[in-house]
Amino acid sequence: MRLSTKIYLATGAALLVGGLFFTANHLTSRLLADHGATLDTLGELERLEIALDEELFQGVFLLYTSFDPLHALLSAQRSELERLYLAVDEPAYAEAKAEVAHYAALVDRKEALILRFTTYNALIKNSSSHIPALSRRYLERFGSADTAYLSEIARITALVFQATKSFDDDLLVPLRESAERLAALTPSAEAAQFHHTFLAHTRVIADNFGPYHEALEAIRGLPNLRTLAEAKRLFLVAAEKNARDISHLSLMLSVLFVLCIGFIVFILIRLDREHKQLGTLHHQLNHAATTDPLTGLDNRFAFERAVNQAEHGTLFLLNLSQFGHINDLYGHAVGDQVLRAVADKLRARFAGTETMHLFRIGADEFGLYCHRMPEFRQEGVAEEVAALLEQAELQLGEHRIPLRVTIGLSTERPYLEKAHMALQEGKRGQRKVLSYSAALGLEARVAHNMHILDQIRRAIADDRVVPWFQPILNLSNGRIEKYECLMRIHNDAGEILRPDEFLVIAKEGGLYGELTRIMLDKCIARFRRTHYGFHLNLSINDILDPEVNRHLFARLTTHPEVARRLTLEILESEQVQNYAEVRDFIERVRAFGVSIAIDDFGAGYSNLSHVLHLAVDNLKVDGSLIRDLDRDPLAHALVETLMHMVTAANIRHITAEYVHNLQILEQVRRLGIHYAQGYHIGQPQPELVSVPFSDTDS
Amino acid sequence: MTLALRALLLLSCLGPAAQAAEPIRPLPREPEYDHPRAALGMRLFFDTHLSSDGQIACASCHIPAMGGAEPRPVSVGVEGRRGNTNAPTVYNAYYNFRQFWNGRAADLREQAAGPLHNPKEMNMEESQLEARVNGNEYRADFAAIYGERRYGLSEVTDAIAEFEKALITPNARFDRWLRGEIELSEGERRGYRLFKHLGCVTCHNGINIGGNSYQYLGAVVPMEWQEGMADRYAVTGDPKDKNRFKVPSLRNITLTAPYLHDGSQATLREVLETMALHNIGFTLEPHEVDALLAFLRTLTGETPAILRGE
Repeated sequence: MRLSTKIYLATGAALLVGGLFFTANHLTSRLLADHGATLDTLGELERLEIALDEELFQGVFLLYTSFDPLHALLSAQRSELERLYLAVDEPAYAEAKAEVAHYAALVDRKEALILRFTTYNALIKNSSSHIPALSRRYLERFGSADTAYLSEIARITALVFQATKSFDDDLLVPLRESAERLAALTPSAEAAQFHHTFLAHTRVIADNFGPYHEALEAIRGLPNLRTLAEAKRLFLVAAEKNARDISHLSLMLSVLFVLCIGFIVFILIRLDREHKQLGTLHHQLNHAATTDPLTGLDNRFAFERAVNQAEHGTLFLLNLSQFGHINDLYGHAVGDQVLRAVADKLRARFAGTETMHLFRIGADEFGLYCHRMPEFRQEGVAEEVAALLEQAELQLGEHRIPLRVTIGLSTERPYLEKAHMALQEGKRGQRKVLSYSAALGLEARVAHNMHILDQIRRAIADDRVVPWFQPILNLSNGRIEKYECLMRIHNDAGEILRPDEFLVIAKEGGLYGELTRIMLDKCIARFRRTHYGFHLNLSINDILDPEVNRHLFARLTTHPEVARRLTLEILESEQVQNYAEVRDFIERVRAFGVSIAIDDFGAGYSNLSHVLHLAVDNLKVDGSLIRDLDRDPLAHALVETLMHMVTAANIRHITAEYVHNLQILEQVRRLGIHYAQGYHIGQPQPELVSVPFSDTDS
Repeated sequence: MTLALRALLLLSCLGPAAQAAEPIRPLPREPEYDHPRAALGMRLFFDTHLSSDGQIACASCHIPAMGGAEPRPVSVGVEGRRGNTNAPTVYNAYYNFRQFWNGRAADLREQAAGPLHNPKEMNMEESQLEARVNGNEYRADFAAIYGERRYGLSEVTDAIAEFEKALITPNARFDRWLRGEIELSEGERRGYRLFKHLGCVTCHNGINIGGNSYQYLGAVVPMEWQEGMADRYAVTGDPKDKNRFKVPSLRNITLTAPYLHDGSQATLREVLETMALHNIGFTLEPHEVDALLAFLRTLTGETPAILRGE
C-alpha cells in the first residue's frame, strides 16, 4: 500500500473514532443531563409527597380550608410521575421502572383515600363544630330545667371534643352509649326539632369518625416515600452501571483514537526519515553533479553556478599544453594521474586561502577563481602557478613528465569566456600568461567571425555562392585548356569575398562541406557543355566528410563525361592523419577518370614520401617558390630540384601558380613545367575567358 | 407599636399568607387559552349538526344566557329524549377537579365526549361525527390547527375543551372584594360570615367555591336515594357512595336555577333551606337566608369575553 493511502486511511480511521468518541461523550453528557433531570423529578415527587401530607394535616387541624391546594399537588404529582415513567422507560432501568409502577399504584391509592378523607373531614368538622353550638342554643332556648337531658348533651359535647382531638377510637364507645341514652330521652315538644338535629350530628361523629380515622391512618401508613426512595436507589444503581458502560466505551474509543494518532505519528516519522534520506541523496547527487570525480575539485557546472554571476572576481584559466600527447604517449591511466597530481599541487598551494576557489573546467583546463584580488598581484599569482606546475617534472612511477601550462586571465564577466579568449590568444602568441582586455580586440575578432559566418549562411540561402574561373595555360601548345574554379561569395553589401576571407571561418562553423557541394554542382553545370578541363579544390575535411563524399560520387555517376575532365586539388599543406583513407578516396575517384592534383606543393609541410604514395597525376608548385623566380636564384634551384624529383616519380603534369610576368613565364617554360596560371595569363573571373592566349603578347 | 410588631404586620400584608386565611380564591381576570382552537371549539359548541337529529348542540343544555346551565330540571336530548340530570354550568368548569355530577370524567375533554355519544343527549356515532367535521364547513379550520389529516372525536373534544377554558366569569363582586378592590355591603359581609359559620364553606371552598371534593347530599339528615341517579355509587358501586356527589360550584348560582343534580329545587331560597336542613341539620331563620342570598349574589361574574365577541 502506498504511504499516502496509509495516511489517508489512518486519518479517516482517526476521524471516525474521534467522531465516535465525541458522540459517546455527547451521549454521556446527555445521559448525565437526563440523569440529573430524573433525579430532580424524583426529588420533586418526594417534595410533593411531603407537601401533600402537610396539606392533609392542615386539613385535619383546621375547621375549614380550601381543597384546591390538595388537587394542585395531586395534579403536579401526576405530571411528575408521567415524566418519571418516560425517564425510566428503558431496558436498563427495568427494576426502577417496576418500582415506579409500584409507586404509581400507591399514588392512585393515596388519591382515592384523600378524596374519601375530604368527605369524612367535612362531616366531622361540621358536626363537631355544630355540637357545642347546639348545646349553647339548647340552654338559650330551653333553660336548664331538664338536667338529665342537659347533662347528656354536655357529656356528648365533651366526648366529641375529646374524641376528635385525641383520635382515640376508644372514646367513641362512651359517645355511642351517650347517644343511645340521649335517643331514649324524650325532650319537650318544643325541643323535638333540636333533639332530632343534635342526635343527627352526634351520629355523624359516632358513625364517621372511625372511618375518618381509618382513612387518615391508611394514608399515613402508605409507604409512598419509602417506595420512592427505593425507586431512586434502583435508578441510581442502573444509571451508575449505564455510566460505567459508557465510560468504558469512551475509554476504549479514546485508546483507539490515541492508537490511530500514534499510527499517523509513526507514519509521519517514517515519512520524515525517508525525507531525510532523500535530502541526503539530493545532497550527494548535488555533490556528484558539481564535483569532478577524478580530481575531487568542483566542476564546470559548479563554476557556472558559483562564479559566473559574481562581481569583482579574477579567473585564472590554466591549460596543460600538449596534454593530448601525454594521453597518447603514456595512456589514459597516466593522463588521469597527471591531472590528479596537478589538482593536488594546486590544492596544496591554495587550500588554506579562503578567497581562492579551484575548479576543473575542462579535460585539461583548471580554473582558479579569486574574489577581489588586487590587479597588481594578478600577474604574480599567474606566474607563481605556472612556476609551481612547470619547475619540477612530475615523477609518476618510472615516468618523468614535464608540464607546460598556458594561463588565460580575466577579471570581467563572463569570466570563463573571456579567460578562454585570452588563453587562445596567448597560445597563438606563444605567451605563457595573458590577461584579457578589450584592447586585445578579441571580441572584435569574434564579432567579425560571427559576421562572416552570418554572411556565409545568408549567401548559401540566397544562392550567392559562385565559382570564378582562372585560366590555366598549356605551355606546350600555348592554349588555355583548363580553368581553376575558385569560390567567391557576394555579401549583402555587394562586395565579393575571397576564400582567404571566409574559408577558415566556414570550416570552424561547419559550413565547409555545404560550400564544397555548391561549388561542385555549379562547376559541373558550368563545364558540362564545354570541352575544358577544370580544377576544383578539396580539403582533407571534405574527403573525410561522408556527406560531401556521397554527393561527389552521386554527381560523378550521373556525369561520367564531365568527371573525366575534373581535377581535384587536394591541399597538401593540411595535416593528414590517415593516409590510407585518403588513398582509398583517390582510388575511387580515379575510377571515374578524375585527376588528382596536390596543391601548394613545396610549401611548409611537404612530405614527399606521402605524396609519392598517393599516386597523384598533377602537382601544383607552391606560389611562394614561383613568385620570386625571376629575382631569387635559390627559388630557381629549388624548383629545378623539384622538377627532377617529380619527373623521376612519374608525375605527368606540373603546374606553376603565381605566374605574374613574362620573365617568370619564360623561366617556368624553360624549367619544363607543363602548365602555368597567374595574373600574367588571366585573373579569376566570373565567366570563362574564351579568348585564346598569346604568350608573346605584352 | 414596637418596630418588631410593625414589621410583623407588614409581613402579614404581603404575599399569599394574607389571603390564605380566606378559603375562597378569586378567578383570574383574563383566562389563558389558545385563541384559534377556542374559536373552533366555539363553532362546534354551538353546532346542532353534532347531534344525530341535527337539533341538539352543546349549547342547547349549557345555555350561555342561563349561566352556562339550563332552566329545566333535566336535560332534553335528541328526539325529545329526557335525561335524569340537570346540566351543570359550563362556566368555570375548567376549575372543577372532576367533571359531571359524579366526577366520572377526569377533565373537560373526557367530559365533552360524554354527551356527544349519550343516546339521550346528542347520540352521535363516531362515523357521523367524523363525516361532519371532515366536511367542507370545518376542514379548513381543523387543517389550520391540526394539519392535514382525518379529524375525529379527539380533535373535536380538544377544541371544545379549549373553548371551555375561555368560559371564565371574572370580576364577581366577591372576587373584587377578595382582591381588595371594593367593599361589600354589611349584609353581604354578614352572609359570608354566616356561610363560614354554618360550615357551608367546609365543602364550598377554593377557587370555584365547590367543585373540589365529593360530599354527601344529606350528610346530617339523609335524603332519599333512588336507583339510577348520577351519584358516585353509579361510578364505584360502593354503598358508601350512595348520594355522594361532586360538590357543585356556587359561582353564578343566582343564574343557574333550578338546582341540585336532578333540578328538583326550583329556587335558590328553596335549595338553601334544603341544604341547611339535610347537610347541617338546621332550619334557617329568614334573616339568615337573606344574608346568605346577599352573599351568593356577589358570586355572579361577567359573561365570558369570548361570548361577548371580544
